[in-house]
Formats: sequence, structure tokens, C-alpha cells
Amino acid sequence: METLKPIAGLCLLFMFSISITSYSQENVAALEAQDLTRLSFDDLLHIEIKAATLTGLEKIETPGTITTISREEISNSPYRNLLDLLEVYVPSGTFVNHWLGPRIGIRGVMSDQNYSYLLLVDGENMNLQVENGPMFEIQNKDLSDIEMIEITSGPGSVVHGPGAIGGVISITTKKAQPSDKASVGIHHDYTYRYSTLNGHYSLNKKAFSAYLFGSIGRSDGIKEPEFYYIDRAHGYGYGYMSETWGYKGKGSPAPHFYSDFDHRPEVKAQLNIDFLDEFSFKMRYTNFSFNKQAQKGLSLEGPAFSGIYGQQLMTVLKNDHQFSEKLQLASSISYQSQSHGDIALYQRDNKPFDDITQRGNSFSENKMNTRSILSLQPSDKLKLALGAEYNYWFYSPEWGKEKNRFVMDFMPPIRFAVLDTTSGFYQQYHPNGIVSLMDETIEAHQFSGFFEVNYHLLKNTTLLVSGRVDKHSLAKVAFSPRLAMIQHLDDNNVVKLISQHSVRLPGLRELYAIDYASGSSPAPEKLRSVELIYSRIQNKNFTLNASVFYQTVDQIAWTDNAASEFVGTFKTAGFEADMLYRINSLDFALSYSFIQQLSWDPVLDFNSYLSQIGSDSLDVSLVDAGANRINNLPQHQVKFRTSYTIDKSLLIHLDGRFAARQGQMDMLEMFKDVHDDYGLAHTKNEMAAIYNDVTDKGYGKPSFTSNLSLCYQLPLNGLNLSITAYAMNVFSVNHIRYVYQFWEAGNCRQYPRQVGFVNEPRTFGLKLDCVL
Amino acid sequence: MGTYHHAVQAQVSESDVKAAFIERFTRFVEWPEDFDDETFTIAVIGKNTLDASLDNVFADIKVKNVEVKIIYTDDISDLEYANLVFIARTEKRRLNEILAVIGHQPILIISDTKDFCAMGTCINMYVDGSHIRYEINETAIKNTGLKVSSLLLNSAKNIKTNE
Repeated sequence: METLKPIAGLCLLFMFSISITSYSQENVAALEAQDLTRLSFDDLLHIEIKAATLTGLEKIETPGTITTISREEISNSPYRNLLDLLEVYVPSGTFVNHWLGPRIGIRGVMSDQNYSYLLLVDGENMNLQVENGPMFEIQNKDLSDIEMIEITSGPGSVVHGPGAIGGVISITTKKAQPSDKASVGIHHDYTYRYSTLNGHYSLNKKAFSAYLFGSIGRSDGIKEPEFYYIDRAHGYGYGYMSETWGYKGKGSPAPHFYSDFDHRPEVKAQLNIDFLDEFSFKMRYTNFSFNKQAQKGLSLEGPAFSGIYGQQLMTVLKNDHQFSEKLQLASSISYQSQSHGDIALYQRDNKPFDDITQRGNSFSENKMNTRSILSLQPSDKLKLALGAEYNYWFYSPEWGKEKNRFVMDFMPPIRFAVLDTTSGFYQQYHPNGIVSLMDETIEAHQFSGFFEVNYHLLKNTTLLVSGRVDKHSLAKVAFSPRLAMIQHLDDNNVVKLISQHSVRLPGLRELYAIDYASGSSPAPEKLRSVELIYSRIQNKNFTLNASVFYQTVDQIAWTDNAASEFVGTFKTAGFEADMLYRINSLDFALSYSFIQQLSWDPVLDFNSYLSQIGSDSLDVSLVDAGANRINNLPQHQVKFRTSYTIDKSLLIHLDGRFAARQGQMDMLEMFKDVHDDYGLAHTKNEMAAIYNDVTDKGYGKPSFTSNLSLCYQLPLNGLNLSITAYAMNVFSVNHIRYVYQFWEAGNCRQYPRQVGFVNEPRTFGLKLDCVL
Repeated sequence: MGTYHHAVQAQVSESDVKAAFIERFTRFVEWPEDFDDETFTIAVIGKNTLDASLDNVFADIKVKNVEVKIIYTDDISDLEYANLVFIARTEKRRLNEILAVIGHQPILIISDTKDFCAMGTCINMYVDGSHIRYEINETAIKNTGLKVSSLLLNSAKNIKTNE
């Protein structure tokens, strides 16, 4: 019964929000087509009419909670990358730093890899399948090629395939403008010391239209940021990394924050060609690199940072053929390659930087995909969609590297896979028993089928039945069904009830290792959810969405049994609401999100133990540490954003977000309680000092931060010139970027090693865009 | 261009947006003569989903400072007296016949069906992703004697001409 109380509370809150909006309905005119005649022509060209569902529902009827970030909002908002926009615009969206890259959190779903999220670019899945999920696109600083970002909060594997149990980030890139047009832009951030330069060109001819985009950027990052670290694993204290304190007490300033790794420039390029009315071809290249947010190591050559880099190329040919008004076929075939490198500096001796032994990963993931979706409308009441998809992945050396330069990090018993005995990695580490020589191609494939039935049950009621079946060659069948009922209360109010199962397959580094060892096929992780959504579109000036949801995840993780196994059931519930009000030149949006852990029932022993407290190690159950809060995520988030336009030439944008009850506090308090109850006097005192020091610096406390920008359009002859000046964290309290906290097996950890954070300072930058 | 616009996130129906575009097109087109009976006549031929949206859009709006009358018809002969004709996709088989009846009269011919523009309508609207776009047949417009603002031409996705 205890677990039902939060749900009952959420339902009451949900009903309350409906009653508020019902009251406001009396005071505002209903949505009418006439409202559209007051929009500018440019606004009409940009108005959205549909969202991507198989059977083409209008967006208000889409069975899910979707946040749309338009190109204007991207242009007007201060950001470092896509994740900053996610944190500003998505009610429950946030992210933390893992030393292997940022980790996304939406609705209580966060992992040490981003594999619970899907990243799509123009409908193409860009996830790195090995394990990491979205690696590319999320850290790029130039977003000028993006027309729109749609973020689905909650599960989405029914439409997009296994992997999207936490959410889907869907990027739509720009296409050719209606007329021949060129534009250039530059962006410089003074604090992060990065600059980007971009150019766009649209070409329209009778038989085709083309769009060409390119950008290049470079980031030196914030020099020696305030990176707080507890080095109790080694017993050398805690504090901000510096020349005098850090790695093993020898002094180690933190890596430059948001800097390119090894001075590799960020490059993006894209070519779109639409031709013969129904064909389109796209080629897209992007790359990324960053220094790992970790202690700087000391090699014999001197201080050594580790880093990750990658580059990807995607080509896709699409055809949308309309056989008749009621029968359409959309087909695509694509090839994608993601070249990936992870500088681990395992060697830490005087071997050259380019030596393969300095890498933990050096491979490329290559994918061929083909997909077809048939949409038909047998009657006015019924729409159907049927689809099939095939994926084939194979792994080869990094682009431009020889076969003996291949190394790929797998789970045991493979560990590090190499392809050739002449590999330096093989020769150095094979004697240690951690290298496997692969005598066949590392590959996998997947067949998928999906359907959607959209039945107009009653005048105002639509029933949506959807499902997707995926059979990966190394895993059991994954089935994702969804049932949704969409009820129009009237022209302005819609209620949607959605029940679905969503699945996530373990990454290839787990699947392949299991198959290699035993030939068995693990089952996918399953998320079951029920969501009730209320949407109100009063008119173009006011919209409101409110959602209450309940989620159960049967979690799959790698265990001591050398397998991906069911490890426990995690239940959460939450509430989200967001509203947008627009009057004359003022926009104002406000959102609130709440997430509650209802229960966590592990089937394995997740105890850890702390050593050196007394004379013996002490088992401590981490299960009991987090009673109410979800690790790494705040329980409450309130966000707002507003913009005001003066004389159609000056736009002022302000956004802010408030977060409270950080889940990270559970582990910190658990450690403190253990020391208070069982520790010796000096460990008790030191733990108390750590606790006080980090909380004094804002750790776990309610926080607030805000961003401001001013955009000015200059009327110049023949040119459309805009200048944007921005400041991030212009006013903030306790705003820190947390380090990802995770469960750690007992390993003589005396203090919470993962309690770390970076102080994100006030940031200043300028953007200049010119349409020629 | 040159001013800020916001992506309208309030989701509206495809029909409403198309109706709004039709109203907007009339602002960028010049008819050569005054309108008979001080009325601007829009004729819609064929079954389509725009009817209610067109009625809403033009309920209180004048075109060129005259009242708007909308007639819904299946009779091709009714089109001769219109200033603007919208041809529904159900009229694909009769399209050539409809265009022949309209001939070179100063009537703006609008459609929302693939290939209609190439076959002779002046403006054709279509869905591109989640947006409405339009294409223009310059030759067809020239034949009607209507004058179209370059602003409208500039935003057309494809400007097609019959060879």
C-alpha cells in the first residue's frame, strides 16, 4: 500500500492540473484557423502539422511525450551542445559527466552508458551499437545544420527498435531553402575557448534541389577547471585537482573542460539532394573528441591525458512513393561507418602516443541498413502501416589503419579482441591472458518487423495498436507492443492513455562475448510503462501538456556469472507538466518534473564493503542506501524560458532551471552513516570533513542556474545579419556538474570515490550569422 | 525575412494550414480587373478536407477589400465565374478538362496533389516532413495573366515551367 501513495498523489496532482486548465478555458478563445492568418508568411512556412508516427497522427495525438526544439530556439538559446538544450527544454532532462563522456537522464533512466537512449538523424539510428549508445552528435558545438530536435521522454522502441527505453533524441537536419541561398556563421565562446565556423548553401533547379553544409571548430576548453575529486581509493585526500594535489598526491590539475582531445578539430559536413520528386540522397560526416574527465596520469614522458575520439559517415538513399492517395511506400537503404578510438594510456611508458598499446579501443563499427514502410488507408476509419528492417553490422580497423591496428574491448572471456598476431597490442598483452585473437569477422545482424493499426473507433476516439519484433543474431527475440487510446474531449483537449513494453538489448561487447563463450542468447531488458497524458491546445498562444507515468524495469546487467542477466526490478513513477504562453512579442514556457523511486528489488547481492574502518571489512548494503531517490538524478526540476522581441529586430532570451533532492546524496549519506556507526575516530572525522566540504560547495543541495542571450538583426543592404551575445550560468546557486555515481563492488573503498563534480562557471560568447 | 519568427509549437491541422496558405497567396497576387459584384469568389471543386478550414479562414477576411464567397461544386462550368479555384485530388481524372475550361482566364488555380502543378495548376501545396511547402508553375501563371509577387516566388520550393 505504501507504494500506491505516491501514485495516488500524482493522480490527484494530474486531476488538479486538468481542473486548472478547464477553468482557464472559459477565458481564452478556442483554436481557429483564423489565428493562422495573423502569422507571418515565414511562420506559416515553419508551422508544424504532424509528428512522426507510422500512420501519420497529428502531433497532439502522438502516443508519447515529445519536446520539440525548433531551429529558432536553437539559434536563440545559449548552449555548448545538444545536451545543454535537452536540459533547458525537456522537463525531466539532465545529464552528468562520466569520464567516458556525458550520460543522459530522462524520467529516472540513467546508466553508465547511454544505451537506454536512441539518437536518430533524419530517421537513421546513429547509436554506437558496441555499448555506448549515442556517442556522436551529442557533443558537437556547431548545431547550425539542425532544423529541429524532437525528444521523446520515455520509451520509444515500439517505433524505433530496441534501445529506446529511456527516450529518443531525433534530429532533423536542414534541407534546401525554397530559393538559392547561402549563409555563413561564426561562434566564439570566450570562457570555453572554442570557435566554430559554418557555411550553408541551397541550390534549387528544375529537376533537383541540393543543400550543402560544412562546419569546423576547435575547443581548448576551460583551463584547469575546478574539478572536485575524492582520492580515497589511493588514500591521498580530497579537493579540487591542482598542481599541488591530485593523482596520488603528486599534483595533477584537471583536464581542460570541454576541450578537444589531441587538438583534433570538430568537423561536420552534409550534402542533401532531393530529386525526381520522390527520391532523396544524404551524406553526412561528423566527428568528436574530448579529454576524459579524470585524473591526469603521469607517464615517463610526463603528464598524460586520456581521451576519446570518433568520426562517422552516413549515406542514405530514400524513396517515398505514392501509389495512390491511400497507399504509400517509404523505403531506404543506408551505409554507416563509425570509427572509434579510446586512448587509455594503459602503457604509461615511453612508447609513442600513436602506438596501439596506448589504446583501449581502435575499431570501426560499420552498418548496412534497409527499411520499408507501407502505409495504407483501407477506409476513412482505418489506417495501417507495415514495415520491415534489416541491419548488418561488421567491425574493422579504424579508418585508414591496418589490420594489426585493431583492438576492441569486450567483456570476458574475450576481453581485448585483435585480428592479427603482428599487432603490438597482441604481442604485449597476450601473455597476460587478456587478449583474444579473432579468427572470423566480428559481425551481427538483425531482422525486424513492425506494424501500426490506427482505428477511428468513435467520433472522438482513436485506438492505436503498434508492435515491433526484433531478432538479433546474438540475442533472443525482442517484442515491443504498445496500446494507446486517444480521446478528444473537444477541439482543444485531448487525453491519451498509453501502455507499452519497451526493450533494450545488451551491447555487442556483451552479446558477442556471451556467444563466444557459450553460444547462448540473452533476453532483452524490459521496461513496462503506463502513461496518461493530457494535452490542451487553447490556440497558438497557449498550450499545456501534463503526464503521469508508472514504469517498471526488469534490469539486465553484466554479472559475475560472465553473462548479461536479470539483476532486479526497478519501479518508478513520475509527473511532468509543461505550458507555453505566447502573447504579442512575449513567449513564456514553464515546466515541472517529478520522479519517485517506488521500489528496487534486486535478485543479486549488491552489497559492498568498506575496509580499513576497523580491523575488518564491513559489509554495507547499498540497496538500503537509496530509499526514495534515484541515483544521479534530481527528484524535482522546475524550468522556465522566456523571450521578448522588440521592434522585430532585438530578441532577449532568458532560461533557468531549478533542481532539488539530488539522488547523489544517498550514497554520500550512506558512507557517512557507516563511519558514524562503525568507524574509528579519525575515519569518522575525516568522513565528516568530506561531507561538510562537498556540501559546502553545493553538492546535493537545491540548485539554480540561468542563461541569457541577446540577438539583434541588422538591416543591411542585401544581407540578413544577426549578432547574438550570450552568457551561461549568468546567475546560479549551487550549480555544479556532477560526476556519474555508480555502484562499486567491494574494493577497499574507504570513502565514496565517485563523489566528484565540476564547477561550471559563468560563460560568455558571441555568434554572428549572415544570410547572403 | 530579417525579423524573428517563432516555430509555432501549437499543433494545428494540415487543412487549417493549407487554408491559411490559400488566403496568404491572394495577398501576393494581382488580378488584372476589378471583381464582379464586388465579390471575390473562391470555387472548390471535388471532395476534400479543406472545406471547414476555408470557411473559418475567410469568415471575416476580405480579399483585395471585397467580400469573399466560397462555392463548393462538382460542376466544371461553375469555375468560369471564380477568381480562385481550388482543385481537390479527387479531380485527377478531370484535371485536363477543368484546366481547359478555365483556359487563360485570370483565375488563380491552386491544388494540393502531387503532379498537379506540372499538369497546369498555378500553385500546388504539399507536405514536406512536418511542414507545408508549395511549388509554382510560372507558365501556368503567365497564361492566366495574373501577376505574382517575387516574394511568393522566392519561397516556392520548386518553380516549375511546362516546356
